[in-house]
Amino acid sequence: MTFDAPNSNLSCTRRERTNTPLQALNLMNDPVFFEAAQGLAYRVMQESSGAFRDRLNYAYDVTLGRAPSAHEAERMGKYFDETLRHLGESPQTVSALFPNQIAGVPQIDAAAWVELSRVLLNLDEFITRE
Amino acid sequence: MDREQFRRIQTRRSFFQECAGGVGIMALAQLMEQEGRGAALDVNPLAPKPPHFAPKAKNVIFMFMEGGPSQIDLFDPKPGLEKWSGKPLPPSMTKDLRLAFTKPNAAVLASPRKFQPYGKSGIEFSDYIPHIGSCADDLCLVRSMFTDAFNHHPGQLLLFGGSIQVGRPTMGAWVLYGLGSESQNLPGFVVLGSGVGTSGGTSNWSSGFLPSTYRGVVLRSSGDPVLYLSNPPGVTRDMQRAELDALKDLNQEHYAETGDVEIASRISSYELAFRMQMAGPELLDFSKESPETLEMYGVKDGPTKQFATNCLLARRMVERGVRFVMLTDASWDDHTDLNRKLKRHCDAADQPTAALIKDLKQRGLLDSTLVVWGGEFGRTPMVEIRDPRDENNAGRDHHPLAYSMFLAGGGIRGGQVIGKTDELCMNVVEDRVHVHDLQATILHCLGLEHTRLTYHHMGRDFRLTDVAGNVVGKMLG
Repeated sequence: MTFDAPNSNLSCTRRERTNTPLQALNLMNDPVFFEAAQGLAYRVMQESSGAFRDRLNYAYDVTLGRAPSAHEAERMGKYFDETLRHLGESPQTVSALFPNQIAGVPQIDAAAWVELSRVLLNLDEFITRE
Repeated sequence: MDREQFRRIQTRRSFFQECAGGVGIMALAQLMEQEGRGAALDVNPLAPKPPHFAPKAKNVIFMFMEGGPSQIDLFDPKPGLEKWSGKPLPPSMTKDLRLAFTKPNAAVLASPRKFQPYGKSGIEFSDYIPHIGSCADDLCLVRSMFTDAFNHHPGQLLLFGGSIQVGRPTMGAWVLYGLGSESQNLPGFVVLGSGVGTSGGTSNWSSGFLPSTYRGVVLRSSGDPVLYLSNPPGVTRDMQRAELDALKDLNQEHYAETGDVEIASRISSYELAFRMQMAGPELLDFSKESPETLEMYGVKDGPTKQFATNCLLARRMVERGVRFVMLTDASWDDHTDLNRKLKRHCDAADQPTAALIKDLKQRGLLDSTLVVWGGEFGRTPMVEIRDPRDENNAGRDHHPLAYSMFLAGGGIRGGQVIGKTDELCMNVVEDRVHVHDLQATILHCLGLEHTRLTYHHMGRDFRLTDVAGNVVGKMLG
């Protein structure tokens, strides 16, 4: 209902264009999408080298099929630092965000990557067919 | 060709971005011009805007009784039908009749309903809607509505979009576009449904060719009205805010590149979602409502429960600045078994409707809230028997030529009846009110001149009332 999927038993003469806050709540907070963000963070941790910029390039490639611009990389770097600071202030949130352990990866880094993944998976460029 | 090059030539947005002269920038400039704003990117399309003239109403609650409630059994007593009962209509009434599937030679069906006058105004209502009757002195009952559309979806499109074609912006979207939203934390146009769902569905609250930010936001009718108001585990409110800041910056960069206004809509819907995470639970929490209020609406249990919950939410939304609330109740499309089905609809809707009007009044909100109640058309004076073996199964067919609606509150003079139908309720004989006239009047109550509320699209200015509509002066207070 939130995304207005038409009833597949009936003809649909016009699919309505929608863009409501309910969709935003769904994509930000639904456990399914949150788990997808956790999954993306896990994949980025496993499949790219340890440097932030390498991880970011890989995450952009996986989600958007392109590299981040210099400005985007800078903004994401700032967000990563900010998230590390937030997680440092309330360490009990780290394991809630990222319950797994990956050898050689500090758990707090992986947890911060869950947050970066949530941004990527909520970008208009990711949600909308370009 | 590498992937970057491929991406650049194959996407819709890249087309806008790469086009010589910049189609995207043109589209953006046009939008800014229409919105009467400078070319700043960080515009809020929902910011409050002044009306054309001083309004009486600030908010609208449109109670849409989908399917076509039977005016003959609720609002427009026709003792004259008794005389004709069981016989076909006089030929003078049917010779030019062109209705898609109504049988013009069907027998007339008198109403078994008892009507009585209510209040000082003495307006008559049927025994199925005593609660609505008790509000008579606040109601402007229009017995002379007519429409162009014979079937549900076109009728609903005409009522809400001003045209029987799909794709137009709807009343709530136009109002939000014209006036913006007073609420920072809730959507400006909210839809609440009860019953089986409307045949017009999303096209009844569509933003059409207006930016999708003006579209109605539908709350769920069972369980939690809004889902996912809580953050995921481990995400604090500060972290959620930081995430949205990053998201906004990156989306804004993309918006600046492409000029696609839907990205601006996306940004504002995420920001609104964040604020709704705080405001939503407060809106939905009835624990501070008095037991008398809950009792009056019928929120607790029984047949009123669902519609009453929506009515109470409507009042709470109006209090919190939601501009346009649409309550849809479906379906009043009683082709068969009219007496029993109509009773069921009325048992669900009568008490909550009256409670909402009285509650708005006692809180001083009725003066600034316009309440509209009715369907997309009415029902025939003739009988419809879909199963000839069961005559008790009688219903009525669709009737666009004459039907009733009522209005109350901001800008409307209560305690009066507008218009008159003939002896059999076949046609309107006095003060005909077309759907476009109703729309013009609703906009007028909100301080909007219906001919000036326009949006340029496909080479011309469009408006809710299409190329018609006159404000019905008699309705106004």
